Amino acid sequence: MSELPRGLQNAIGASRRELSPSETDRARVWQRLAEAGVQTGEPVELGARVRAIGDAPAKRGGAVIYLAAASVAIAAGALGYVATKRFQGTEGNHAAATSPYAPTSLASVVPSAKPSANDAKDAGHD
Amino acid sequence: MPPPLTPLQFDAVYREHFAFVWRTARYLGVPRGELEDVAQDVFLTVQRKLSDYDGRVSVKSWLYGFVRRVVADHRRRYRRKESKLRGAPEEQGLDAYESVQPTPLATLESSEALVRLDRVLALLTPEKRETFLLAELEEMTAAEIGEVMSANVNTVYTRLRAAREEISAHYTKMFGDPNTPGGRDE
Repeated sequence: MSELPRGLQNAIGASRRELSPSETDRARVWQRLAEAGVQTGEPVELGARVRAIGDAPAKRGGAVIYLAAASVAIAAGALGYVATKRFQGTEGNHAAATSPYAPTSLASVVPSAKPSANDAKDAGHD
Repeated sequence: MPPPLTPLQFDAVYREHFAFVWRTARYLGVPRGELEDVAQDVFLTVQRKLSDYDGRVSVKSWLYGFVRRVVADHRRRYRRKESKLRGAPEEQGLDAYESVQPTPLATLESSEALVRLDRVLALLTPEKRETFLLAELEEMTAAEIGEVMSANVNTVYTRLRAAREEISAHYTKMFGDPNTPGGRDE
């Protein structure tokens, strides 16, 4: 068979590239086939490509940030739980009683039955 | 005695021949926006017929038969839709479609190489054009082309030789010496 001129061969090569599908085209059709119920054999890299397209960089980045935030929230929650437990312990109660930021309790607002020195002084004035 | 036939695996056929199916659908004039539908239909057929493959023809030739049929069905549906939209009878739509068929690459993107090749290919007869495309772009053997076009190998060689000579002559006439980078400006 006769050979084609080089310039024409180049044009054919360029046309071939131009007409060829992209990886995205390939993955899209693969996904459509899967959605249409085509039972494929063992997973191949094409399936991975479809997944890779689904996991676009922005989506992946968002997932990483979400996971990191969730981890921090869980860690903070765990620390808070431990701190609360310790606070509610014996030492915690003592600290709570002496702390100016201790929550108001019923015991702190009920006057003591035993009169104080000031009470006695006030009574004398009356 | 022929070697035992290895059963075709759908994944392997898809992996190795998806680009072939895509490109040949484009040669046959499927618009870019409808290629996914056509490719999907071809591989749905492949999946249904996978167990029927008997190895008498190459996988490419086998697939090409599906591509041709799916493209023809697709055209029919397209024409039906078009004629409904225009309110014209279906047969009129068919005739109208046939009249614009000779340029199979007309709907494709217009890179310079494609446009030039398209213009030259449009001057060939449909048989020569198809033979040339399958041989040069798909690198199919004369035997494979003979299988898909129901022609004997000698006919394929004759068509291909004639197609190459005509293309070279038309290309030189229209764009200058094909061995000169860029050719000449029109």
